[in-house]
Amino acid sequence: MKHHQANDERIERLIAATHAPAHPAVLARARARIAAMAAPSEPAWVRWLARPVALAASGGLLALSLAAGGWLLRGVTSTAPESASSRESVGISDLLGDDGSYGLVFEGGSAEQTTIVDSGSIR
Amino acid sequence: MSRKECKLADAEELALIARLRACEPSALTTIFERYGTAMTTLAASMLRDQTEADDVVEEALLRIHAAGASFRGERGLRTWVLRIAANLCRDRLRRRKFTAPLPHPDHEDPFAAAGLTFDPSAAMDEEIDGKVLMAALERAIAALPQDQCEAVVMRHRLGLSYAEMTEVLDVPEGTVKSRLARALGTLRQAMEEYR
Repeated sequence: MKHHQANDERIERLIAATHAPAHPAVLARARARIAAMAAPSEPAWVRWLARPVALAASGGLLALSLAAGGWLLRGVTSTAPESASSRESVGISDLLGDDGSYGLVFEGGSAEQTTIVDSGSIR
Repeated sequence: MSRKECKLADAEELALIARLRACEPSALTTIFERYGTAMTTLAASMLRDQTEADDVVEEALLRIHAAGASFRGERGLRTWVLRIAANLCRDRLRRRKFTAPLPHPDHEDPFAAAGLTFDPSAAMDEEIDGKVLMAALERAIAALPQDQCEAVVMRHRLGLSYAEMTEVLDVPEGTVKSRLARALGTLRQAMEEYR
């Protein structure tokens, strides 16, 4: 037992006597790689776009604007020919008259002639 | 180590961890100064190749830098650093199984290939030539199974405690002790003729 113990201690002492020195070049290489990784390789806006949050936000905005655009377009096409507002505008224009007289009747001719006469009188 | 010295060491380590978490470049330099030799010794003893050992230390430094911000310091800094280096060594050894193994003939100097150096004064009292004795021991360590080799190196070469070894190797203390006992038994047999 004592023989084993003495031998083990001898072996342990010999094992402890061996080391591998660290080379400063290893640290220098690691530092250079860290610096290379930190240096931006593409424009800032590309990096900004690449961020997941920015991508998700942009995608969301795009989807929202597409949906809103589609909804607006659907509304315009469905109301254009037969809508109540268009019928109303036709009725109003009937009432007012297409000749621009606004339903008023002038003596001695149309509103246009009156204007000319009127202008002539100023002259 | 006295309690005062221990507290001082703890305070220094905490300050270093804080610098590491803040990604200060000087923190990596301090880590290399403190644990560079231990990492290189571990890698050289496990891989038996100086170039690969240096590559492992370089890679370990990059990982330490990358993971430094999230290091909580629950484990000791030394055990964390050595664990990273040991894992990288295991990865390389695993990859070697699929590639051609490095040739290590018996007549080759095991120290030169691995980039290891020994203190000649350790073998001064021996009757056999120190260089021959140390080379025989190194070959015997290299021939150990991987788990026993790393246990021997961590315990007797790097001076890790059993508690630290359980952290680095992620195995129970009993396993650490049994690996060491088996390894020492093998080394004892191998060194019997060099008495």
